Amino acid sequence: MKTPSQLQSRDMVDPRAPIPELKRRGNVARFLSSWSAGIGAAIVIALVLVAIFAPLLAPHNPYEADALTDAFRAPGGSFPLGTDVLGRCILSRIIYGTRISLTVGLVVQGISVLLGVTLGVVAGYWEGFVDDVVSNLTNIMFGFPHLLFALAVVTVLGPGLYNIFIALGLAGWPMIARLVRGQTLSVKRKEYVEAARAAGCTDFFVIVRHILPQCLSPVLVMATMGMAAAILAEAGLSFLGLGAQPPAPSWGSMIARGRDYIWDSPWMTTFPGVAIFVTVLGFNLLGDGLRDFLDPRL
Amino acid sequence: MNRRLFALLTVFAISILMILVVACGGPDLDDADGDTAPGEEQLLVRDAPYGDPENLDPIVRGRMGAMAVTMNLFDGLVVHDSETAAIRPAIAHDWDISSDGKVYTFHLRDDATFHNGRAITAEDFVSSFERLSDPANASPLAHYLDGVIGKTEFEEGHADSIQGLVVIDDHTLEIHREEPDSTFLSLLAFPAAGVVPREVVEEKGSDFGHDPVGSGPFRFSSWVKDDRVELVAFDDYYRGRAELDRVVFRVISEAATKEAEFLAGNLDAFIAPASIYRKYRDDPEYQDNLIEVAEFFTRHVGFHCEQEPFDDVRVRQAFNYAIDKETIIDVVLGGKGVPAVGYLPSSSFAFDPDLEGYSYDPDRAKELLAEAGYEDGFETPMMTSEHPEWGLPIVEAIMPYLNEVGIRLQPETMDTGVLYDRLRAGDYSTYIYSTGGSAHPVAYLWRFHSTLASTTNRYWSEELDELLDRARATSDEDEMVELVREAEAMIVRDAPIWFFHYNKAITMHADHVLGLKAMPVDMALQDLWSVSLEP
Amino acid sequence: MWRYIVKRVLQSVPVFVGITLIAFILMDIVPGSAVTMMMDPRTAQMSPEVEARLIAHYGLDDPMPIRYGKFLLNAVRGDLGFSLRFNQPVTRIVMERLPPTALLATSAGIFATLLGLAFGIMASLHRGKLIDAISMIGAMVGASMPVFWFGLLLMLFFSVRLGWLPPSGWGSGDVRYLLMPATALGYGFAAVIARVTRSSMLEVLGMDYIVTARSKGLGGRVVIYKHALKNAMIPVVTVIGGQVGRLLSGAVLTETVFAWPGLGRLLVDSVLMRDLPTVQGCLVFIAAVFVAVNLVTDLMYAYLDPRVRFQ
Repeated sequence: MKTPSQLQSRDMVDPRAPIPELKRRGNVARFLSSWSAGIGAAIVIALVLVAIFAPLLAPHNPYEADALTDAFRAPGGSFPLGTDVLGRCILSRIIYGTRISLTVGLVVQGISVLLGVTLGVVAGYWEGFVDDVVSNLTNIMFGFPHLLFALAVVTVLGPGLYNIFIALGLAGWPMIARLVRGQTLSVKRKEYVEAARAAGCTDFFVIVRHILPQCLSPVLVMATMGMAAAILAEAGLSFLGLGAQPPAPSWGSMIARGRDYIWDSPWMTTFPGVAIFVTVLGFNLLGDGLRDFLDPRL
Repeated sequence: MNRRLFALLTVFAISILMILVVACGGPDLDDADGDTAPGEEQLLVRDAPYGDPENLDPIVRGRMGAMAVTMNLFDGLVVHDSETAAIRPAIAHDWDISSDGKVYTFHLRDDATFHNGRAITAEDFVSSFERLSDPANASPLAHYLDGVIGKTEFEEGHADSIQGLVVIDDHTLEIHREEPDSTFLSLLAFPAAGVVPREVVEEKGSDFGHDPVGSGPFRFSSWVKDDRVELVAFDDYYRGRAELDRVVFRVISEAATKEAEFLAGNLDAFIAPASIYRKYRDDPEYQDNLIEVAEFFTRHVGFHCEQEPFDDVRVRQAFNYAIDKETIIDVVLGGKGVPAVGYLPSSSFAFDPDLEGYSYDPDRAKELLAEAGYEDGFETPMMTSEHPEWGLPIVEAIMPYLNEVGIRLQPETMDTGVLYDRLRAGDYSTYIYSTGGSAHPVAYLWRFHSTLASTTNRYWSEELDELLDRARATSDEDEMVELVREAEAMIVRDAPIWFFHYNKAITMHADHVLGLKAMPVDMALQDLWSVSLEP
Repeated sequence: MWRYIVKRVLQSVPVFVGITLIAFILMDIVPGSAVTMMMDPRTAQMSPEVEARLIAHYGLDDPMPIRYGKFLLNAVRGDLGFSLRFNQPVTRIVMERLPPTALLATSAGIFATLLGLAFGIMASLHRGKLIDAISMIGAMVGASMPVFWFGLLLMLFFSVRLGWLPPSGWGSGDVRYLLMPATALGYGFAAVIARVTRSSMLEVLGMDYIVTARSKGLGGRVVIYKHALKNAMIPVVTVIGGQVGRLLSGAVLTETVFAWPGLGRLLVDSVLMRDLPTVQGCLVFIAAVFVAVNLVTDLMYAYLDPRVRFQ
C-alpha cells in the first residue's frame, strides 16, 4: 500500500543497469553525507535506543496508572506529555510503544521479504507454470487494497500483535515478489549466469551466489520503506478497532482511544501521532537515502 | 497507438467517470419535499444514534439503530410513554384485559390512516401480525407473538391464519393468549408490532425496507445510506400533524466528528458519549442543553457460572466487592453512569430503593476468595470489545483493583460478532458487555430465566424461574412488582454478573430545540412528534 | 489494440475468481455469523429455532463450496446476491456508494496528480535549491502522516477553529464538503507522485538526447515540455496506476473520519457485520477498478513509449 513504487519504475526503466555493492568506503561517506539518509539513520538509531532502554527512560509505569485520579492531566509537571483516560503517562506509553512499532515494522517486513523473495525467485528462475501461478497470485493481491486484506485477516484471527504480523506480512509480499521476479529474470539471462549453469552449477548455487546478491539492494530499500508502511498500517488497523492487544501501548491504539477526546485533550492523540510521524519519516528518509546511495544514477 | 486514438480514449474514460458521478448521483436532497417555504421550515437535524439504520422494515431486523427511525414511521396499538416507559394508547385508544389475563380487547381509533391515505382497520393489524410471524419473512423478532393461540400452527404451516387474532369489527381487535403474560403489551409497543399497509408491502416486496409506508407521525422521504435518512411530517396524523416539518437523521460514526458538527451548528441534537459529558455538564452555557436519564441498559461483567472459578458464588461476590465502581464511573466515564445496585435499572418503576448492593470492600473480597479456596487468587481471561464505556478502557481500569485481591485479568479484545458467538457457545470465562432495552421489568430480568440463561450466564435456579414465571403470569401490578423485587434480590445475592452501571443516556441539543424527552427505554427512541423548534 | 484489450480483460478473470474465493474462505472461517448479528440486541440472545430459520432463509446452510459455486453462477449473470445487513440486492447497495467514492477518489487522485507533478517538476528543475528542499520535505511529511490523524487535524483547524468548512458528510457532491476529505486522502498520494516525478525527470534530463538537444540550442521550455516530460512520465504513470489500492485503503479511513458514505466504509462495516455478499460485491467492484486502471496504465505506456507495442 504505502510501499514506494519508485522501485517498480527503477526496475522498469533499465533493469540491466549495474547495482553497486554495499560497503565500499567512499560510498559510506557519501551515503552519510546525504542529509536525508543522515537524518533518517539518526532517527532510526535513536528509536532503537529508546526501545532498548525504555525502562530507564520512561518516568512512569506505562501499563498501569499510579492513581486513576491522574486521568486527563494536561502536559506538564510530572507528566511531560499528559495522561490518558486511565491516568497513564503518555510519554511512558509512547516510549514503550516504540518497541511495538519497531517490532511490527521488522517482523512484518521479515515475513514479506521472506515470502516475496522466495516466490519471486522461484517464479523468475523456473518461469513456466510456477511463474503463472505466482504472477496471478501477485495480481490478485494487488487487486485487494492492503488495509482491507489485513482487516479481513485480523477479523478471522482476532486482533492482537501476532495476528497483525501475519495479516500485514501476508499483505506486503507481492511488491517484493514482483521486484525480485523481474531482477531474477534479467540476471538469469546474463552471460556469466548462463555460463555457470552450463558449467553444471546447481540451481541452488546459482540462486544464492548470483541472483540473490543482485536483489539485495533493491529489497533492502523496499523493506526499509515497507517498515514505514507497516507502522502506518498498524495504526490504521488500530484506528478501526483491530489493533494490538492490551496491555501493549501501541501508538495506533493510543490515537484510536484518544480520538473521542481530540478537541479537549488533544495531547492524547497528538503525541502518539507525532511519534508515528517521526518514525515513519525516519524509515522513509533512510530508505530514500539508501536508494540514492545504492543507485548512483540519481 | 496513435495520438488521436489516445485522446479519444482519454475523453472516453473521463466521460464514463462523469456519467458515473452524475447519473447515479444520490437523490437530490434539496427538493425532496418542497411543500414548505424555506426559512419558515421546522427542520430538525439529529444523529442516527447507532449508525445507518440499514433497513426500515420494522420486522426485518431488531437493531436499535433502525428502531430510532421506525418508531416515528410506524405506530402500533400502544406505545411506551417517553418518560416513564408505561404503556400509553396509540392507534388503540383503549383496551380491556380479561380477568384471567388471556384475552386482550383493543378498541381502535377510527381516524387513523396510513401514509398512503387508507384508513386503518383491525384487519390491518391481523395481517401485520401474521406478516411478523410468517416464517417466509424470517423475522428475528417473530417471537413477539409467542403465546398467542394458533401462532405455532401458523408458523409450522398447519394454519393459514393465527387463530387467536380475532377481528370483531373494523375497530375492535381481540387477541387470545394461551397463558397470561404481563410483558405482552410492552412488546406490542415496539415498532415491529406496528401496523403496515398490506397492499404496499405486497407491491414492494423487499424494497419495503427501503421505501417504507407506515402510519406514524412522519413519513419516509429519502435515504442516502451511511449519510442521512429524511422524514417529513405526515399531514393527516391522527394525533395531529407534528410540529416539525422535516427530520434528518445523519449517520456519523466518529464521536469527535459529531461534536464538531454540533459546534458548527449543523446538528440540533445527538446522543452524547462519555468523552464529552462532563465538559458540557459543567459548562454553565450548556448545562441546560443536556437531557439525561438512567437508561434501561445495564453494563456488566458476566461470569460463566457453571465453570471454575465462577461456579462459586463467593468468588462472584468477591469480584463485586473488589472494585470501586463509583471512582471508575467518575473518572473514566466522566460521571456518565449510574452505579448499579442490581440488574434492574433505577429508573424502572419496579426498582427497589431499599435493595442493598455491593460496596467497595477489598478486605471482604479477599476473605470471600480465601473461603472459596483462592487465597493466592487466580487468572482469568475476559472477552471485551473496544467500546469506550463498556469495553477495553473499563477492563484496564478494573484490572488494578482486581489485582489487589488476587484476580488477574487477561483481556481479550474482539469484535461483537466473535463475542456473541463465544458467549452463546459458552466458550468464555468472563466478558464485559451492555444489555437491556426491554421496557417491562419482567422482560428485563428474563435474561436470568432458565430458557435464556442457558445461552448467556449459565446462571439460573428453579426458585428464580418460579418467581419470574409468577411475575409474568399475574395481572396484579403490585404483585408483579413485589415478585420482581424478590427475583432481583436473589440475582443480587447470587451475583451472576458484576453490577457495573446503568447507562446514563445523554441527549445534547441546541438551544432552540424543545420537547425532547428523557426516554428511559433507550434514549435513541425519541418520539419526535412532540418536538418543536423555537422560532 | 481491441484484441489486446479483450485479451487483457479475459486475463483478469483469475483475479476476480481469486479475490472472491479468498474473501469467501476468510469469511467462512471467521467466527461470528451474520445471523447472530441480527438477533435482538436487548437480550443478546436468539432462540435456536429462530436461528435455524434465518440460516435457512438466507441460504447459509449449504457447504461453503456449494455456496461459492452458486455465487459464481449468479455473478456471471450480474447478480451479486442479497445483502444480509440491508436485505436488499448487493448490486444496488454498491451502486449507491459508487458516486461518493468515485467523487472522493477521483478528486483526490486529480488533486494529487496535479500537485505532485507540479512540485516534482519544479524540484527537478531547481535541483538543490530551496524549492527542491521544500517540495521534498513536504513530500516526506505527506508520505509519513497517518491519513486519519491528518484528517482530524484538518477538521480541527478548518471546521472547529475557523468554521470555514462543514466538518463531515458528503452534501450530495457540494464542493465544500469535498475539500477536506480529498486533501486528506490525496496528500500522501501527491507526495509519492512528486518524488517519482522528480527523480524520473532528473534521470531523463541527464540523458544524452536531452543534453544533445540542449547543446544544439533548443530552448529550455521546449526541451522540458516536449522531450523530457513525456519520457519522464513513464514511471510516473506506473506509480499512479499502482497506487489505486493505496487510495482505496486510505479511503476507508478518510470515509470513517469524515462520515463519507462510500464503498470503503461499507466494506469495513460489512466485514464487521459478517455480511459476506456485500463484502464480495465491494471486492468485485474494487477489483474491476483495479483491472481497468492497470489496463489504462498499460495503454498509456504505449502512448508514451513508442518502443512498447501490443503483443
